[in-house]
Amino acid sequence: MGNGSSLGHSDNRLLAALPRELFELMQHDFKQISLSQGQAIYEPGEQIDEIYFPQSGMISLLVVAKDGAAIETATIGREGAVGLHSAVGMRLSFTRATIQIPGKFSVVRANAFAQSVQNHAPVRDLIARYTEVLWAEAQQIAACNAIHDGPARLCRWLLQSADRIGSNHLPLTQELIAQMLGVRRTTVTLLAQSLQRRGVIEYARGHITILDREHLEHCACECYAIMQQEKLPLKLGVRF
Amino acid sequence: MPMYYFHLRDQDMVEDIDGTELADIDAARAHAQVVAQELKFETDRFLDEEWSRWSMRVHDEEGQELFSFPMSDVRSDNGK
Repeated sequence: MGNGSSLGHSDNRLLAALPRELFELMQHDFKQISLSQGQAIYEPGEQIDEIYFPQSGMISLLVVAKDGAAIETATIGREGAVGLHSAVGMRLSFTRATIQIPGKFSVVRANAFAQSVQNHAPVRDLIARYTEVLWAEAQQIAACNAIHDGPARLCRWLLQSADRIGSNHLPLTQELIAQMLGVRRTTVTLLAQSLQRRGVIEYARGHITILDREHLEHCACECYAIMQQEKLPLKLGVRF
Repeated sequence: MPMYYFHLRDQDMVEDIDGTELADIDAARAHAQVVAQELKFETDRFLDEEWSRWSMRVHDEEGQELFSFPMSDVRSDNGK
């Protein structure tokens, strides 16, 4: 992955999975934009006007509790999209969506995409298949949060994030990792330092680099292997 | 507000390299308790060692130790 200058719509796996002639028809509805870390794209209950397909960055979906605490419930990278359901009828966001890792994104107006959904069966199919994958992931993560310990979940999440952006260098703030684990930032620092001590990652303020992927996979819970981008669709009998 | 650093120590030290800005030492004591509880809730062992081998050491910006307690004194719940 370079600095993003050579990225395009086809760096998003969902868009790349559409028949080429079809995407060429839809392409004029799409624009490529850069988004920076922490930028909010949806708030809970707000109308969704645009759909985001990451080419390189990562979007985090957060459930916001009454006291204002935000807990991450899903991450989306180049394997997926955020806001797709707005093209099939539901127009309000359930979660807050923020840019967790900056990058390039393909963006389309929900109205324009809804038109493509109506006109083209392959687009409808793609949404249906992707929804299956997301739902399976949500169930796996719910179980993971209940049964696996913090270090194993942290390892699983680092591996997933690396896959989502296609890089072993993760520009992540301690704050965002804390939201993912639902713990204080200091707890994140100490857990990350213990992984660094094992030589698995390098941790510096705001940056994690995966040094030993194999070891990290060994430290992660089984959920990483189950949810791996290449494998989960196959388990569901779904192809992209 | 002053910075506080929450290190874990057995034979050597796992350092809190980030630190946390807190109002005063009482806030630091409360934070240390919550972090210790979260750690024990999140994992049974730390770097393959029983928690009974670890202690929480809280330092100020100059690296002076302000207080410490053994992790075995801490309840293992998530502090919520």
